[in-house]
Amino acid sequence: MSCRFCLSPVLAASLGWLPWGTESAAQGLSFHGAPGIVEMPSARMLPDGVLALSAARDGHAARGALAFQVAPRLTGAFRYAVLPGFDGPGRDRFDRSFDLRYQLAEARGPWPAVALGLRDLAGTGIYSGEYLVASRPLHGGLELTAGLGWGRLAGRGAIGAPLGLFHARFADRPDPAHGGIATTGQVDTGSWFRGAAAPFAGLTWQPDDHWTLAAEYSSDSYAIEAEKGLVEVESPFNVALAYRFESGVELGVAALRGRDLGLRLTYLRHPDRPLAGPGREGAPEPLLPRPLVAELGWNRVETGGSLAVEGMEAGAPSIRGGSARLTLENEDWPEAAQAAGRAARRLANTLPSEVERFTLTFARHGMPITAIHLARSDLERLEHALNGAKEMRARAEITDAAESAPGYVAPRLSFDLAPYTAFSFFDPDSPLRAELGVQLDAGYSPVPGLIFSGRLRQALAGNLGDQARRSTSALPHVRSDLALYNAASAFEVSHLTGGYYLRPGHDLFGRVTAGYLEPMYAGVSGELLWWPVDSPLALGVEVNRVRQRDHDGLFGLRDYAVTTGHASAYYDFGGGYHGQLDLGRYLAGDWGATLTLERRFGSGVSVGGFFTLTDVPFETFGEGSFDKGIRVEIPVSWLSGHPSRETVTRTIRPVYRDGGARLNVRDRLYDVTRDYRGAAITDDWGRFFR
Amino acid sequence: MRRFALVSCLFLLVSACSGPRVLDPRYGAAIAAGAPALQVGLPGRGDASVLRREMLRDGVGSWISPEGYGFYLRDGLLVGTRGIGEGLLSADVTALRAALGEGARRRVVRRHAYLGGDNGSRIRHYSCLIEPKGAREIALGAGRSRTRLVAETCSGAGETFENLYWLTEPGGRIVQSRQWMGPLHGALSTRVVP
Repeated sequence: MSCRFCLSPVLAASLGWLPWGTESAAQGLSFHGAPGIVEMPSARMLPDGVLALSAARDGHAARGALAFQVAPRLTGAFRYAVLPGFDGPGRDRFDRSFDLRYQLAEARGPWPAVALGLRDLAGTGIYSGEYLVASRPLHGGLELTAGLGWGRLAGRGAIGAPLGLFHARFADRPDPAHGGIATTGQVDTGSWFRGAAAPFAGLTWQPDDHWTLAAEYSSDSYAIEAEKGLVEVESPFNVALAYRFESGVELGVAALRGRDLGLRLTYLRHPDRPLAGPGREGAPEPLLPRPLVAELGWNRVETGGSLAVEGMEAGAPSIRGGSARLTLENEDWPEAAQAAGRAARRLANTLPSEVERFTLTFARHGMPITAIHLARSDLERLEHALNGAKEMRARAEITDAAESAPGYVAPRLSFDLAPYTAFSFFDPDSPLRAELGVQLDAGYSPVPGLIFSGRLRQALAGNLGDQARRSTSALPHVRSDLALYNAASAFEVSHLTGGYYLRPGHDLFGRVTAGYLEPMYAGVSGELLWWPVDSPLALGVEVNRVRQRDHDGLFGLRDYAVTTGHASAYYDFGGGYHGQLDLGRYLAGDWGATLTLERRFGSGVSVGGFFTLTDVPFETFGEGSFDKGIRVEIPVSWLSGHPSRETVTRTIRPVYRDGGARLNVRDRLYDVTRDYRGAAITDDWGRFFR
Repeated sequence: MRRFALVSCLFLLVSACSGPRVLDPRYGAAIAAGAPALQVGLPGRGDASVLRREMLRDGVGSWISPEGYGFYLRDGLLVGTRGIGEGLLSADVTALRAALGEGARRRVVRRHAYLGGDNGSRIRHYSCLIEPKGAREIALGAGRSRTRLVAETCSGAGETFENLYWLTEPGGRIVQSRQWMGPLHGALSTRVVP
């Protein structure tokens, strides 16, 4: 019997560029975007790390969902649903919810997989429910699932309150809407597993890696929608058929509630399977035999010019004894290892043959960060060796580079003109707003480390500025007046700053930025970061004194001024999991803390979530109760296959209000240094010889 | 919203238009230097091209395609690709080379290092059977060449493939071959340009 819950060792070992990858082992997704039968959940997990993006229509509501396998036994999903006519004729309800599922036990031998799930932890309560479910694979691609549901999942056939036997508290369930809009967004632990429970069950059949047929008895009676006359329920049975393509796209169709047609489109992908495969960057320059290099003779200009071809800026190389030192600013390569490999080849092909050791220092904004020490003979010996990349990494020495020379020759001027897009989500009047325009970036550095930079934006098209709703926040409007900024600033000075980046000492980084720091604030920002080279822990402190900018995006300032600051701890847990804790004062003068957790994959994709709790009471904060969100970051090189340091980052916040708001100053030290520090500088060495 | 859709469509159209295929300057330099040429084809893709050898060092030739993609060949055996295909970082073909030289029926082990999706390198092992298939006469350049054909049938890491080598008789130099690059593109065919 094939093991549907585990990857075959071959498949696991070849997690790479094979067209099938590991998503083919993922099966049966429900209309809620996570593994399930038709609408009911199952105890199955997605393969670790997989992302599933779904869009579905269930005959009434339209739903979009993003599910992520956070860890082998934990699935998280964010769902956005539009329920037409829910709040009255012509008034639609937009429901944002977050689900979690934890697998208590894997399927093993005769025992089924068992999972516990929470639907709609902290949303507006329409789909709110919990479940305990078991799934057992049977012979021939069949799988049987049975479970108990609470809340929304106990609408039909309730068997009483089973947990009421243990404690009286579980005998009944509070009305989910009892707090009104002001209590939305809170994690409503108060009602978990309380009240009546109802059973549900289903069968899925997967004859091969493409087709799935599913049938279920649903415990969701759609009572709320039926009461409003939006949905008619004729049967408790749902049936679905789905087909998965090799590309990871899955199409599903279902007969729901005995009379409605449901449609589903899902895209599954593992972040360590870039869209463009291993990459289309051209072949690196081959290493020349050393006698040939000696013949050609060294030319200082040659080194600098050839590094520029590789997308790197460099300071002047310095040679002493048998050692050459060079500082570079890597502009193009998303992986430090590949930049190091390319630079090392260029040095090996241009420097005098007596030079045996190369010290390559990576710098950003004129601030040297980390040095990689390599032996030239290792390079020559390992260029085509089977384990060349691994051995090179083992033999390279990594040290802090506080005293190194800067990575470019000043003065330096740069310009860039490019299109931009900006999005706004979840406005009740229009769930997706967008804007398209052009932006001009300019930078000038008179001495290394001192950088004047600015960005101008001109909107060309879009409805971002059409938002009619105005903020009713009880706090100072530090962020919630975004609509006013979008409306008044078709042309805006996004930022205009002077920044100084320095290395105050060993393992220490410093930054001072002054000017128009971001579209809403101007002022001064100072930061200090301590991050030893091998350390999973980094500590930082930041202080800002800012004034709010005028809505028109030009040079005027408003009256509101505030001093904000945070002490931050950054920790690498290993396995790609990172955490960040910031403690301090936010823009509205509130004190509190932000916790961010992210999973960063080897390919550069990052999925994470954050929330902030401050001394602002939930009622004062307003809808949503506290600031929280999800952030997904995808390198452009992951999409295109060509080297680029740009990323596409989307932060999804269910609500955007004034509590727990941080200044968006650019180039915070941790972000600037993270690619060349900690695990990041020693990961990705498979790319060294590319 | 309509205006946004119109303008964004325009942007997409403009960005999708690519200019004429630009020749990599290093390829041009290799031609100018009179570097050796190698005809290659990707039958799975219907592509054919002429590679030029940029460098030969320590027994490995670094060949470049007109677009700038790289192929590494050791004595005519593929040991690496850059910019195209599966991300073959390097390959250990020592046992294979010895067996081809001997001309006997043998079992050898092949090892390939591939770039993983997480940017690490992963080694795959293949067990291969070398079988001489006898003499063959092939067209090479203007004339015909006497060669011996050797077949290599490999399996491992969930893949099965067959490579073919035409070696000069006498001399044992590979003048024509069909070598497996990976499941994505299938085989690479090579032919020496005399």
